[in-house]
Amino acid sequence: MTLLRKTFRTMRENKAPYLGAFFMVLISSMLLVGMTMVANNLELIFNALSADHMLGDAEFSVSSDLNISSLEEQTNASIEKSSVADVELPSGQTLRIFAANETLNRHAVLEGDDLDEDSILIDPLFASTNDLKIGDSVDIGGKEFSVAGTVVLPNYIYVIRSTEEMINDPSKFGIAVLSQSNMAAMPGTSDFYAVRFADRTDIHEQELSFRSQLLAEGIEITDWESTTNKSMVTFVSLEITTLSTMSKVVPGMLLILSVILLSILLKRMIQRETAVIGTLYALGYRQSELLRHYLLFPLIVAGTGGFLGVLLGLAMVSPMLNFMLSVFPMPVDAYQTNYAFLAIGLLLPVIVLSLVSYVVIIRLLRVSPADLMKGSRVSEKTNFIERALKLDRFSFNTKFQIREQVRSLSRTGFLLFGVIVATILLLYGLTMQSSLNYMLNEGIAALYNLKYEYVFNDLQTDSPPEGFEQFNGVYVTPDQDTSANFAIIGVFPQSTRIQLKDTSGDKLIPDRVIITKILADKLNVGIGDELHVTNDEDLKAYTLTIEAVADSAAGEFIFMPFADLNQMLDMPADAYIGIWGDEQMQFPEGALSSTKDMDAVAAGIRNLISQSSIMVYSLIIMSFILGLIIIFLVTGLIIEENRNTISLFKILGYRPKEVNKLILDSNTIVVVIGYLIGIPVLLISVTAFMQSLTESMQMTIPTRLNSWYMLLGFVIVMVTYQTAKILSRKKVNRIPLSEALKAGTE
Amino acid sequence: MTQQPAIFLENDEVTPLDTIIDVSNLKKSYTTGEVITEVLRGIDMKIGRGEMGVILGPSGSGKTTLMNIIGGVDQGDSGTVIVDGLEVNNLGDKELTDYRRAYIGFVFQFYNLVPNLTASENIEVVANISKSPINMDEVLEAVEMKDKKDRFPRELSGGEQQRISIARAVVKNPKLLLCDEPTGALDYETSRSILHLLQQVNTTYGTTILMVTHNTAIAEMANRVFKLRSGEIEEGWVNETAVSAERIEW
Repeated sequence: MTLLRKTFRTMRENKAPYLGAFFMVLISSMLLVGMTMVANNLELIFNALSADHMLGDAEFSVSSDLNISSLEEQTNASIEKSSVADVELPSGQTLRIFAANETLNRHAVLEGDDLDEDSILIDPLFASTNDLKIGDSVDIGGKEFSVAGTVVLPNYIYVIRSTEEMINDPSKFGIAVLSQSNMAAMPGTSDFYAVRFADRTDIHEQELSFRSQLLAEGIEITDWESTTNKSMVTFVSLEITTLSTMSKVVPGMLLILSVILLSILLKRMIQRETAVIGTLYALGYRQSELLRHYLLFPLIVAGTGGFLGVLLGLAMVSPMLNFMLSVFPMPVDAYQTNYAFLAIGLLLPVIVLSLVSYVVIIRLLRVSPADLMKGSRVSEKTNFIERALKLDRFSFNTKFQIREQVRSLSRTGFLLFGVIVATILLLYGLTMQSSLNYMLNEGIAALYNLKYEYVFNDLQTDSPPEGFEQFNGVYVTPDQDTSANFAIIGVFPQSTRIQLKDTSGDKLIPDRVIITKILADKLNVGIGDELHVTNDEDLKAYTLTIEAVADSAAGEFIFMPFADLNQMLDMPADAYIGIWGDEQMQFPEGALSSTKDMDAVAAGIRNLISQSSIMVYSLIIMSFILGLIIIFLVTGLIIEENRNTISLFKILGYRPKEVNKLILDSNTIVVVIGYLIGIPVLLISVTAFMQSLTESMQMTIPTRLNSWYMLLGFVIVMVTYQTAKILSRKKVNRIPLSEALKAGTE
Repeated sequence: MTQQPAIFLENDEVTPLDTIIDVSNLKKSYTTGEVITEVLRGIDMKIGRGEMGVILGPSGSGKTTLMNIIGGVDQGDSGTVIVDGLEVNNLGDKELTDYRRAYIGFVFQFYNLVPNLTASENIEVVANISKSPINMDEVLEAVEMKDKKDRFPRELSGGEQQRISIARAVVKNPKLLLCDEPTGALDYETSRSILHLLQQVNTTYGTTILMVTHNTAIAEMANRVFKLRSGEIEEGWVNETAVSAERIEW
């Protein structure tokens, strides 16, 4: 009991580091529990929606009507024909209206009533943004429909017009559901099919055999979109993956930091108390009793931090999940409190901190009681690095600062790791922005010299409109990675619309097979390598030999001469599927399969960049605080360890500025090294993370961090460091001269 | 040893030719709660340039406080402390720092070496802030520690650590070397060698030394001796037959 009082007194006397460790454990547990449970529940809700409302595995269009029941039997799948139309509302917004399906991709009513013949269901974000309430009327193609409620489609959870837009804009675009009969009466609808396989394993293989079956029956597939490639669905998986990854990485890093910090504190405390420990031994205390006493420190920190962290984590689940559901509206049919994660959030810090502390304590308590009684000053031991250092050529200040860093390797390690973590947090958002900027400026803007791309539903052979350049293209899947499909584009060697450069910056003429670097890296192929691919439409196999690599960040493409592609695809020499130009064109209804407005693509990316600013600023603030705490704690530790030296310096005539410079500036080199190590660690982890998201995003973002952001990051880190130093100055100034005068006399 | 009363303590008849320390009616007290402890009750003392002075006295007599005030690490409540013409007792914090930096060398009972600096680096601590420090090798040679200059304090004996401590104090060629129980933590033989070293410093560099000790035998090597008791100079004398440290026994 008496020792327990000592525990609390010691913690009160050293509030800052114990509070620092406590908060790190708290935030770690909070994020672990909160983010994991949000990710889990989001996944649960998404899976429930997918299963209950029969999310299709793919959507496709064909040249002729299908015999659905016969095909369902042959392929062990459910198939449903559906229709869609984009309708412009009188207020100017576009509403993409789907027919209410009966089997696949069935709508889920979020609020209000289900459909009847006079009503329409609208996506909740569009409804709230445009102030559409249940009971309001909407004019669709001249007919008034009453808003019955809000709706979500399992195949259109994230409401964006096209993949290129990336960010939803409910003030301009939304989706709605009408009854099949109303859709049938509506002009300008397009038909498409959805398919879902009964066997829920190996969907990709089943898709391929399904398409082979269609081809075998002489049915031409004009469009095929796997759900795994559909951003409107996969962005949910992207969010779940991001949250799951973050819920492990960030708490893990914080836990490691708190473990190191507590180990340092315990080590220092035991070293300081060697004489007391020896005396307690002499008074009859057992090693196990002292071990229990010292283990109380990590137990208190981890126990209280973990417990409060779990509570706060639980409290953040609901608001965070609601926020997620406002972006990805889904009916909450399933909610789970994952008790395993609550237990992990509580016990993981306790176990990890106690185990590490146990090792630290037991090593120190192994010293014989007699030695302990002497109060041997263990802290004055010099480690092998200190002994090996030859610093003769340096100035005294440099020598002192280097020695200060190597004196306590755990303390330096804590600072280094802390700065790396803070750097990663700090630059994470900036790297994302930088990468998007790079993709926009160095990728898309550099590759395309055009304003519009029109892709037709059917092959064209007429001359393209004046000022337009034709191209052909085919989606293929490489044999080596069946999840990575990409486009082979046939362009004229004299093309003015596509501008390629090789890796040394020289212009590349598309008179040969050119692969973009980003795709080459992904498939691990280079010049001279053969690439075996399968045509996604007719499943024919081709082999291409890579002849050049283009340094383009615009996407995953292979460019080859127009004539060669047509010959390979066995198409007429003048056949093309799309055109590029600068004019906006009008085509007959149903003629186009897609339109790409390059300004809109750029605006979409810029939109994403500006929307990510909040995240970037939040991360900067978070890393500033974390960095401040870490640097402040480390300088605090240095000051504590050097109380006697600081006092001595003052007696010897060092001015306050000089003392501060010697003691507080000794961390500069570690902070700079930490920042410099943090950048490659960040780039490697962001690249790995981006690659893991590629499938969900349907695009590859090259990881880039521009030098201005690096400089900005450095400035922020140094400002953090200077702030921590200013905060620590008082501590240095408070150390009295008497500290050194009394040294050794107590 | 012949003792001659230091008349200057009473009537200023005997004063050093070139006074470097001139303390006059110095008083100092500490207040703890309601208890006021008078540590120094009107001290008068003078020491000449290049002399070696010793302050003797039991624990609690005020000798360390007196030395701290002369050294500029503490301040008296009243009275004057003039060191080399500079009134120390009225200086502000900044001026006191400059004073210690330029005038004073310290030698402590427990050496106070920086544990993670080597012997030579510990000496550099002071050389680093001195305007015209003595050559490091010369100082290391003088304290006979040249061969151990790369060792850390922990790798040195108590006597060796004190030698480094003396070298650190001497390297800036201070006007005044203040030694607080410099042999208090050392055995007899080592103590004698340290005292010998201090005497050498005194003669080689002409450094004025003021030493605080409870060991009365050390007074035999001093030029001036002050015996303190309860904050007052009980007795003071000039020792005209100061002996070599090697001849002191206790």
